[in-house]
Amino acid sequence: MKGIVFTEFLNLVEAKFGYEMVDQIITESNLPSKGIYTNIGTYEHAEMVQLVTALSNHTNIPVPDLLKIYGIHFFPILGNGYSHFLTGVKSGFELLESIEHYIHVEVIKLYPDAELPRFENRRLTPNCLEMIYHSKRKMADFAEGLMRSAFDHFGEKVEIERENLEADGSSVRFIITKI
Amino acid sequence: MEALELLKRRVEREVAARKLAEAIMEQKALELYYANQELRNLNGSLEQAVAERTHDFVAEQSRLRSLITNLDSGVLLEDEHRKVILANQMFCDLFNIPVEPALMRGMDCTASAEVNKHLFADPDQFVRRIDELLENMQLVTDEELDLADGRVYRRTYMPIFEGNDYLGHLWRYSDVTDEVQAHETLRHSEDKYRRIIENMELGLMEVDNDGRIVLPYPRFCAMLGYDPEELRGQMATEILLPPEYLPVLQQQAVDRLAGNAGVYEVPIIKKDGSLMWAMISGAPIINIHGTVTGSIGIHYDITQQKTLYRELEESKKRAEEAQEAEKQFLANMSHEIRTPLNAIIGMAHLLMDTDPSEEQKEYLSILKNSAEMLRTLISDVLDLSKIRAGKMEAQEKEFDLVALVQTLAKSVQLRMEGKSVIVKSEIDPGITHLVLGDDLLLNQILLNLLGNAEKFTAKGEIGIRTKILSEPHETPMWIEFCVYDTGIGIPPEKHDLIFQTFRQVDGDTRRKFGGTGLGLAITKQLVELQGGSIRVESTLGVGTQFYINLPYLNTGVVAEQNTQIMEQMQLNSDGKRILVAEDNAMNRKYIDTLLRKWNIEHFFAHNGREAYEMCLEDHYDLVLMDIQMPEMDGYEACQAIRELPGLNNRTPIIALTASAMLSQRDKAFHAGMNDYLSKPFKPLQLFEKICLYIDSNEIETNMPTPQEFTFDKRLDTELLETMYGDDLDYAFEMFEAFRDNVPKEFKSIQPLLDGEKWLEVARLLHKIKPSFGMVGLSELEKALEQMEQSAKNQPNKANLHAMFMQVQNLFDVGTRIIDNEYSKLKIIISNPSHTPPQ
Repeated sequence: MKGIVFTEFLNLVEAKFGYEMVDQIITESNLPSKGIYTNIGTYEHAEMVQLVTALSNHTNIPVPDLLKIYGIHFFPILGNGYSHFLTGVKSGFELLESIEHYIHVEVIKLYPDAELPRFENRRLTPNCLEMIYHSKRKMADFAEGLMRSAFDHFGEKVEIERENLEADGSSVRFIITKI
Repeated sequence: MEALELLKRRVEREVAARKLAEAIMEQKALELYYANQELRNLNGSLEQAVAERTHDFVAEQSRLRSLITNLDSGVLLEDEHRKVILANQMFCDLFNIPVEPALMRGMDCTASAEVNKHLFADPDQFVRRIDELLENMQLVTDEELDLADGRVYRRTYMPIFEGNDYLGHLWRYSDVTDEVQAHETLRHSEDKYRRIIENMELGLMEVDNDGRIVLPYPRFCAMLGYDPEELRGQMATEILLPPEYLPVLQQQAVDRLAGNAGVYEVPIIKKDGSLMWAMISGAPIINIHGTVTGSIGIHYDITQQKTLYRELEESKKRAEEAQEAEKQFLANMSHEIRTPLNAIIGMAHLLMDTDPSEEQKEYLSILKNSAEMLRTLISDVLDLSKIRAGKMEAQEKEFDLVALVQTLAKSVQLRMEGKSVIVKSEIDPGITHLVLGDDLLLNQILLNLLGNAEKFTAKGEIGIRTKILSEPHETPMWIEFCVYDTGIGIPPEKHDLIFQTFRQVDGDTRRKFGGTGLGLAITKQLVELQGGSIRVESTLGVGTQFYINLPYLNTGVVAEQNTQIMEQMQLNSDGKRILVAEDNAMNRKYIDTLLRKWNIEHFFAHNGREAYEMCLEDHYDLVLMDIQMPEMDGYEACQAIRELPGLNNRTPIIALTASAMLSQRDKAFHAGMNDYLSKPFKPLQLFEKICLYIDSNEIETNMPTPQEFTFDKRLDTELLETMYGDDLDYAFEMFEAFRDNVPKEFKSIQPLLDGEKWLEVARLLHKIKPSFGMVGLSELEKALEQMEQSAKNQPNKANLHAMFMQVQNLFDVGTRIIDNEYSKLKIIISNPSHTPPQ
């Protein structure tokens, strides 16, 4: 997992709970990187799991919620850093549909070692999008957060239903309906 | 503290993170650098590869372009959308496209077929076919297209594929009008010639190199009665040729393989077994590589010609046999007929001598004359046939032409005794040497003409004149003989007639004068046989002249008798004067020449009376008196002079008589002549006579004293010495006897040889050979001996003839020597100072 995920997570943790929390979850976790993250670096996904779990322990917020919140927070950061992905995109559906064949393709160009989820998109109706999420990192909650934030960016109101296609959460089906 | 520691840890983390980031950045930069490097390299290689490819491509393109441009066919390369990729000038020319090929690039050809279809004889077919080709997309080569204007194009359509991808296609067009036409012409030509040969009733047949029949043409088969199938594949010599002619064909086969043609004749066995004679003109068949692949023969049926030829040969043979038989017959008949005739004549003569009665004499006379006439007739006929058969040949012998003519004249004179006809002869003094020619023929010719002259002349004159026609050093020497008479003459219209066989002037002539009518015909043949010519001039009632021109070769031999004597004949006759009475100018000249040569003063009288008158005036030491002169003849003149007192009545007078007959001589002596000299005389004879009568003493002192006589070294001098010693008189007598007898006998050898009478030849040779020894011709005697033996023992015609040739040569040389010796001897013993041994 790319470093930006870690650095922004820790920035959020610092913003919400102060650096002491950051320090604590770092120290408590057994991190091969020792908690030294840079955006462009690449680190084990397992470290993320440890950090989120440690935070969950301290805050008593369930991990999925933490991930969802992070996801919602992360979208605008992406939007600012990589605004060109949003150029000419008119709707959330459009954006989501461009992830697999465009955005992630560009990401891989820059970071060939990036681990990214795989999406299968299908428009059930013009206002209903089915997105199936596949990833070994099993961060569908993070994905959901990103989605919600995205629709927010476009000022669109949606309803998102999700169901696990795999019990371990490595494949999740989202049904997003525009309201 | 906590907070400080916290901050410391944070800062540490921050720094570490930054350092990490930097490291990552560096690494990324390096990675980028290498990536760039690789890219650059790749780019470089790519560029190079591209450059090479491009170069190759360009080169290839250029080659192709060049190829296509220069191709002698029109080429159009289209892409898959029928857009022109490439065209060449030829293509534009063929389709009358007024655009330059380079400018055609990219043009759309979809409508091109339509546009150009008018060029073709079948425009719609042209378009259809193009569409068909494009649709089938199969290679189609060498389609011939007929143009509207009669020309012919050849087209190839070639689709171009890369794997399964159709990239375009190539059209290729050529104008093959000439080629097609040439083919047509050739084919026509061949057909034409085949047909001509067929129509000419010539059979053609082709065989391979082994002689197997490959192609028998219809006419050939018809000629032989075969079907073509029966002949094809057969060995020609086995089925068609009689085996005895195989060598001919084998030789011809060798010639063919060598590339040579040949013409030959052989019989060919027809299907029905009969033979057809064929003339075959055979030639090798050579392919374009120059190898002989077989031969072709043109056969022409010459069976008819062959038969004809054979018949002709038969006829010729029969004719020749007939001719031969005729000749034999004549030869036999000659002998058969002459023998009894001679007997008749002989008997008549004998009877005449038995003192017959007048009546008997008359009968005998008629008998004799008739027989003689018959004999003459037969001789003439046989002569003529001999000449006609080409059996008469002119000989080449040395002879004394002057003597011959003179002798003839003399004999005619003898015959004309008692008739009122004078016989004269004139010889061109330029004829001084012996000549080379046929004396017998000349004799016969002149005799014949003189005979006619005698017959047809009752009174007047007969004569013979000889004249040299050619220039002094010309060869041969042409001599004109003129036999003339003052007879009845020949009318002009008969001048040609008389030379024809059995023709006489007219019936009257025959009745009156007799004769066979062959004489002149024969004469003409004999003249022409020697390369001469004869013609006649005549005036009726006045006389006739026959002119004969004959060629003779001058020998270097002056009539031997003359040379030495001529040189010796220099008289010192100071003051001696001779009077010559002679009416004939030629004769005068003749004597004049001689007397001048001998330096004797001399004077001429033109007739008897003049002579007499001159004798009245002057004294002469000698008179040479011609007998036959006008006004006063020799006898009268002589008598007259003898009756003259004083001056000349003791002067010796020598009669120049025209013949040597006894009566003439007596008459001369009775008239008072001292001596006579018969004309024609030789210079020596005259000289001797003059010597006799002009002061022999003086002559004696001036005559060259005869030296010791030695015989010619070419003779057997030892033998002669033995036989005669000093007795030159004896030698002279023997030499004279030899000359009188032997040449005559010698002449008979040739006819005996011709008649293959070997025994008689031997006998004759035996008889005469000793005579040769007697005059020192020992070598010749030996040769005759050899020949005699050969004729006796194993007579071989060829051998004997050859031997005789040699003998003849020896004889000719020998007799000349003998003549010479004889003359020498004669002078010596005639010399008054000579004393014969006791």
